[in-house]
Amino acid sequence: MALLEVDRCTVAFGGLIALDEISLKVEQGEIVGLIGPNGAGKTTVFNMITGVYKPAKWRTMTSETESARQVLPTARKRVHYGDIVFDGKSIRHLQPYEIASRGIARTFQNIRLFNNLSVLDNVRSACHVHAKASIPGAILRTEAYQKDERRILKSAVHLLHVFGLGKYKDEMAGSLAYGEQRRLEIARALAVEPKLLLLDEPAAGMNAQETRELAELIKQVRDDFGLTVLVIEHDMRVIMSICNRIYCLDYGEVIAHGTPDEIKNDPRVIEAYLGEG
Amino acid sequence: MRLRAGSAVRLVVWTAVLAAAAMAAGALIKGPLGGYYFRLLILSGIAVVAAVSLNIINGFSGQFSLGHAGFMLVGAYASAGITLFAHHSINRAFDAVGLPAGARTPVEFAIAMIAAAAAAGAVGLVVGLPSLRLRGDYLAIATLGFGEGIRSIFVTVDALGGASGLHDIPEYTTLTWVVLAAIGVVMMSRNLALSTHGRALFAIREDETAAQAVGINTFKYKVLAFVIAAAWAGIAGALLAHSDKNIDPRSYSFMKSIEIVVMVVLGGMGSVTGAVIAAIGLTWLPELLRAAAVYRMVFYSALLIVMMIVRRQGLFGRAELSIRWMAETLRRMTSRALGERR
Repeated sequence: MALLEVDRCTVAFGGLIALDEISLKVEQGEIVGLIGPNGAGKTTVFNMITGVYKPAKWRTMTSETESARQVLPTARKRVHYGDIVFDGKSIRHLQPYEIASRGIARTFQNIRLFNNLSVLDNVRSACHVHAKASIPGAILRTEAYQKDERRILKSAVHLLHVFGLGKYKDEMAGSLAYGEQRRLEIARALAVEPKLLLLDEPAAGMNAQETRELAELIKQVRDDFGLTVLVIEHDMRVIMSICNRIYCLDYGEVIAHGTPDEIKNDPRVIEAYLGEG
Repeated sequence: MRLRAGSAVRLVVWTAVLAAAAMAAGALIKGPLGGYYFRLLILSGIAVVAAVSLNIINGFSGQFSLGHAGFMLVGAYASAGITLFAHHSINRAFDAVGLPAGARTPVEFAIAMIAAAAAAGAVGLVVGLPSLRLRGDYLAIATLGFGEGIRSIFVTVDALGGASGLHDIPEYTTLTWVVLAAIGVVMMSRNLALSTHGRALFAIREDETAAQAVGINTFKYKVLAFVIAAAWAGIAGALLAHSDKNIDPRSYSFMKSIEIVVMVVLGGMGSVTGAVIAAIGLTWLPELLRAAAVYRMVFYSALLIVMMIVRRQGLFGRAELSIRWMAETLRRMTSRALGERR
């Protein structure tokens, strides 16, 4: 069974349909790409999976034409919500923090670090999900609390070393260089110990060298942490080199999906990107 | 929670040592200092409790509360209710267990303060649950409204004392109690800040969306910070009522809340030691400026304005005053001075 299955989900902002009955599947251990022109709804997919936006309910008529809808307002309707199933359980109703603790972590298109916290504390704050100490325990500094804090410190420092950020651990996160901020955001996401990692344009603003290193890092992280990755990216070299499968979105709909080679030659994808020939 | 014997014993021992030290210090300095300055000392201690607790909301979690005086008022009434109206029944209970005469006042006052903390914390929960769904300015307005609302209830309802408040409250507040409360709130803030729960609050302050994305229940933590701070404000209110010997609801107005906010901002949002120093400083400053007579408040405001221009992040920013911090600042300053000379 797929690790993540999005089944016919719609997201609407008022009258604007941002996502129109989107369905997609991500299997355990895969790296899946999500591509599409600007405004196609890629980030909205991430926001929907992580619970920032809830899938809207939508109705189908027994008779599906628009005229039938107007003529027959009382026609039998079936209400669908669409569903998001992660690890065998529906996560459609959950709050973002609950979804994170179930094992979905993400990064943001416009980096969102805790700028005035140290690099170490950025990672440590994401270890919160797995912290066991109670609040009275923390205030009284019990043995159990101190042991838990030592464990958190150790795993956070380890993560920082994996990402080559060990030497910056006491710097403020906001003072890091751009590429390092991107890496720190991935490290912070991994501190949640997720099963599924969502990366929103991780290579944005990076040069060719940094981009190559990033692609390697994503593959390495997938293997070392036993992760599944869903990645939004505009840089086709990254997408084509790391993804097992790709979904292409346009105007809130999945217009194509398949292996990198299939996507590269799909006429609908070419049309979405370049316009009709 | 399983409380290990170690930490409980440590807590009791330290409390006893501090209480004894504060008692001895109080007895030693009360004479030479004189009643006026001794009272200022007590008031600055109470200000520390109020400011450090507000810092948990405004500094740690980054929410903006303007209703702290309201929670102090709840604590003041709750504690005075016990020491005024439950005094006899409590003493009968003391008779029954045979508590020695010397321990009666402290135990009674401790009960009153626990009641104050519980009542203020409960009101904090009731106020926090709806209003913490708001952000920024809206939250500030909502808490301001709640604070004034609480005060209006006490002023209007005659059964609670009405506009004249409560009188003849026993003077139970001693320097010892104030010092214990101040150290209690400082230690609690510090330990909270160093723990995973404190980091959750800081994460909310920095970026609420990202905090949720790493699995922090932001609403729960905001309410929690609000309730803890309200409970400590209640203790501050109890101490103030039993030092003033009366409760005048007018003196717990919105201006009082602003005063506490100014202490937190001046000390540096999020800095516990900053809040302590600003609370003490801003309690003494208007009194020391009495020499300037009618221009006193002009100087006071001017000083605050200058402070905010020269050091917008507050005295300490987010840093804590520590030996290490002082040493580093000193080293930076000397190296800069030497560098300029070269």
